[in-house]
Amino acid sequence: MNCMDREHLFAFSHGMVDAQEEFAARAHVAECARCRQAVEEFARLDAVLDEWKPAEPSPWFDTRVRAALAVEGESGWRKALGAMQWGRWLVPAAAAALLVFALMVMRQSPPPSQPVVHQIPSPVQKTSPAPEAGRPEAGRESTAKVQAQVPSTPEDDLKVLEDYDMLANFDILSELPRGETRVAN
Amino acid sequence: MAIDHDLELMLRVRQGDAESFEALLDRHRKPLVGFFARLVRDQALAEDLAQEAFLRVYQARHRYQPEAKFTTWLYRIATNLALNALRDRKGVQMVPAGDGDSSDGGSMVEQLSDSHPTAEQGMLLTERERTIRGAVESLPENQRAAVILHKYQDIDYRQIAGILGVSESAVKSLLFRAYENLRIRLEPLLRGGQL
Repeated sequence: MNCMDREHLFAFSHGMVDAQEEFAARAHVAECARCRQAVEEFARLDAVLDEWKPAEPSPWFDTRVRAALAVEGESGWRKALGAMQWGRWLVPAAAAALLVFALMVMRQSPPPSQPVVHQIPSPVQKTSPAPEAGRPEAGRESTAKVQAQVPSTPEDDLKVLEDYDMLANFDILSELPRGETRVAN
Repeated sequence: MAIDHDLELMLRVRQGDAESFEALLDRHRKPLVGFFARLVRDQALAEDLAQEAFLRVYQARHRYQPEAKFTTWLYRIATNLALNALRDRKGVQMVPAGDGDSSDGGSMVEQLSDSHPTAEQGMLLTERERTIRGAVESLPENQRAAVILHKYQDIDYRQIAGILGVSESAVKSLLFRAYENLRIRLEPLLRGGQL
């Protein structure tokens, strides 16, 4: 009688064969002393392995698990938010909205006051278009504007007096008596 | 087909029933801690891993699909946690296995630097238990996981195939090689001698 394969005997002795294989193996083992001895060896090995007793959980194990579950419950909403597809865009979108709002507020507020810078009349006035011949008052208007816009200083006055083109428009100067002019000077 | 009570409980947990989760915790606390303790050889780490396994079950409650037995799912989570913990753990030294078994990629056996039990743990173990534990611990990783699941957790080999992600015939082969290794290592105990 040929002995069964040892691996097959192991499967038989541990219930890892189908009904037909089990029937055949049982019949063979009943007849074959060597295979029966092998099956008994497997059984003895199982009995020895049973001597290794399992470790017991510590008394506070359940408490630890419940505490871990409580922490899990508290942080659940954060995870739920993170799991949402749009959740990852929420923070950048909120930042962008805040930036736009800040820009709108800045545009509506008045600009800070600028320091006053005095501009000295420059020879630019020489190149300004000549007043129309028929409108002498036009020259006066432009001169009056210059005087109104620019605070005059003694130095400025001297420059204005040296400007012949401008003085030529003051018709009243020609009407003044020469003696008075000398006196004035 | 018998009704899988765990499966019913888990479906209730999925619907938000906290009491059903307590019932699952009560049913699986002891075997799960025992499974981890045998696999990682450290009681404190075993409890940490068991806690993590229960936490993962709870976190995944909404995604749970009753396609397989609850214990298949639970021990798949547990086995992955344990094997990752063993691989990540500092102080792991790889030394050649004595039996030269390389057919399942497990020709090396991890020898953890702190694998010795504490004095308190040592007092609780008999000399025979220490020998048996040493023999199981000397098995390659996959063989050890298969033996612990089959022998100590009383899980069917078809379920073990689902847990380890291998075929049923591979589980049979894995278990057979593991038992052959154990038979050699535990020869003195099998002959009936006292250590």
